[in-house]
Amino acid sequence: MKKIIIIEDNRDIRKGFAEVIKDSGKYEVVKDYDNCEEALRNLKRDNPDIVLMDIDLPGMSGIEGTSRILKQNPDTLVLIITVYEDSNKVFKSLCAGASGYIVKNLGMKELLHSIDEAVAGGAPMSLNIASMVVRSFKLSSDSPLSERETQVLQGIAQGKTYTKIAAELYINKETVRSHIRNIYHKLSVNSKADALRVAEDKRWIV
Amino acid sequence: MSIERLINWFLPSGVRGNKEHPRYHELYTIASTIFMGTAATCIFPVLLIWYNMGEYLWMFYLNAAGNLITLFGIKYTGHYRFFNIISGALTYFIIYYWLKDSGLIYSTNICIVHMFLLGGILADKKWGWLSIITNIIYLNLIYYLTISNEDYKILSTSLGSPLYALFMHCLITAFLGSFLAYSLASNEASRKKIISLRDERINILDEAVRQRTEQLNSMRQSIAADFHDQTGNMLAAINRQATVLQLRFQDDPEFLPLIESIISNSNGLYASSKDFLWNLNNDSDNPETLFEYLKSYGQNFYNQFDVDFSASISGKYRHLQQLSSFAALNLIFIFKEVMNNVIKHSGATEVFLEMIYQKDLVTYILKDNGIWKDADVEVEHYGLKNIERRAEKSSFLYQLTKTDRGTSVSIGLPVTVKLL
Repeated sequence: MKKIIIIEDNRDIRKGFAEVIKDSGKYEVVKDYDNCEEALRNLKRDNPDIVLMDIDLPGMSGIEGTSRILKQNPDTLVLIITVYEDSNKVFKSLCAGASGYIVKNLGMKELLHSIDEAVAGGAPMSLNIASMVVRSFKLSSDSPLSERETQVLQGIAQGKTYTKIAAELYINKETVRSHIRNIYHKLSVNSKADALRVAEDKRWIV
Repeated sequence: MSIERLINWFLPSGVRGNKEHPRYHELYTIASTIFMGTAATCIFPVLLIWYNMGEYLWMFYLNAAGNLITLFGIKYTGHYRFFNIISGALTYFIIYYWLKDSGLIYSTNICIVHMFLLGGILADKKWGWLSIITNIIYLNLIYYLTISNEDYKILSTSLGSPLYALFMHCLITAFLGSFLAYSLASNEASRKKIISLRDERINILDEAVRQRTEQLNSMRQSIAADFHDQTGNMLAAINRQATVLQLRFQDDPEFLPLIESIISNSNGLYASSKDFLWNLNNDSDNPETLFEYLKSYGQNFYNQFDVDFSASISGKYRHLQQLSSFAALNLIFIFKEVMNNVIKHSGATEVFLEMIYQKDLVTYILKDNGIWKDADVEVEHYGLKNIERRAEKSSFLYQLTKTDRGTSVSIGLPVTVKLL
């Protein structure tokens, strides 16, 4: 069974997530923390497969926490839990290496479905995040994205749903989501400075 | 056709009718002076026929032709000084013909030389004063021609020394010319000063507006940030706690609907706060920003149901169009309802959002390939009635079209030109 730790300073949200996940019987919630520092200290002992990470935390931010966890444990899947999927902070976390994000007020089924999808190698991408990704790759002179990844990214930036993009590219929806995961991976590896400059752009502060 | 339009016709394209153009004022003044001069040159000499002086008519028309060449020169090249010099030389030559047979420096026709001086100064504000010098040189030349002529001695016995006539004419030229040139120059300087004061004032206002907008923008950003950090988290906490209750009471038919209602209400509050905050955005009256928001909402919404969704803009893009205040918020409400109806009642597999730019109108259309059922007549009616009422209240043009191939809802929003 995959092991999960939750880092979120709001106790009700943290416990709420933990109970729903535990109840599913699919994942084991090893521990939940209200700050990054403590989670990092216990990382070796907890040895989680998945980290659910809030962004605004007392002390170290979730963005910094994400990159530290991945430095220690590169195989861990860090999923950002956020109030708003279009936030530039989410984009920064993706640049720091997060594999995706989960909206905090998702329903029970949708929450578990999102974690399942992340484990299966997929990731979601909102229109505004797609626009930020497009801009950040445009800033670096040669794009590291493959042709398919570029097509997927363009499709999302144009407002198309995953099924629409899948139909147009003759692939299935899961493949679209795994392309998104690869895009996030390349985003965190390439042109970090450019990407962060995009995130600082006032237009994206929502 | 008014005279102003006619004069404008002689201005180069780009400057024509464009009062904001930096050269408009300069070219309009020169063109209007030459135009009036030409008109006078054409009409006035007709009187000469009554005095049996018709033989001089050609001179006037030659002069008018010179002026016309200058006017067309302005129209096609945007320059006038070269043409003015040519036309001026031609005029001096014509005046000489008048003076030649009427007593040269003694001639009453010398008044034409003074008229020409006035025209020159009025036409060219920058270099017009040079015609004072050319006129004095010309008068000296006429004087020289007078004394070189044997007949002048006869005239001088009754009319006095030609030197005196020259002196008086030069005095008139210098006095009249400098007076007019000075008064025009000081007028021009005041005009420029007024313009620069006005520009300075506009710049101050622009800066104040910019600062205010920036202030409002940062206020909006901080409200939005607060919302996300606090209110949003609180709503998420309510949602999560209710979800835990939902889990614990999943077999209890008494509590379950109540818990689901709490979840749906907190989600509803979250969504409407998000729309409202977005509307505070200083760009939310831009039709394209609104389209982006609807597109993003549609993409997110239909992703949940595995429905194909795409969006596009058509029509000619018009810069600086703005929607009326709160139009965006009302349209968002309507479209959310419509998008929801598609899922609830149509069974559509493909949905398409379109924005069309038209004159004075931006139309947002949501098309689907399903057929809106009347399964729950009351509920659907209520929803549609709500949409219609809101569209009517906001002065939107609303149209619902049902065909065998699909359904489309189109909402037209009036737009005006953005001032700020």
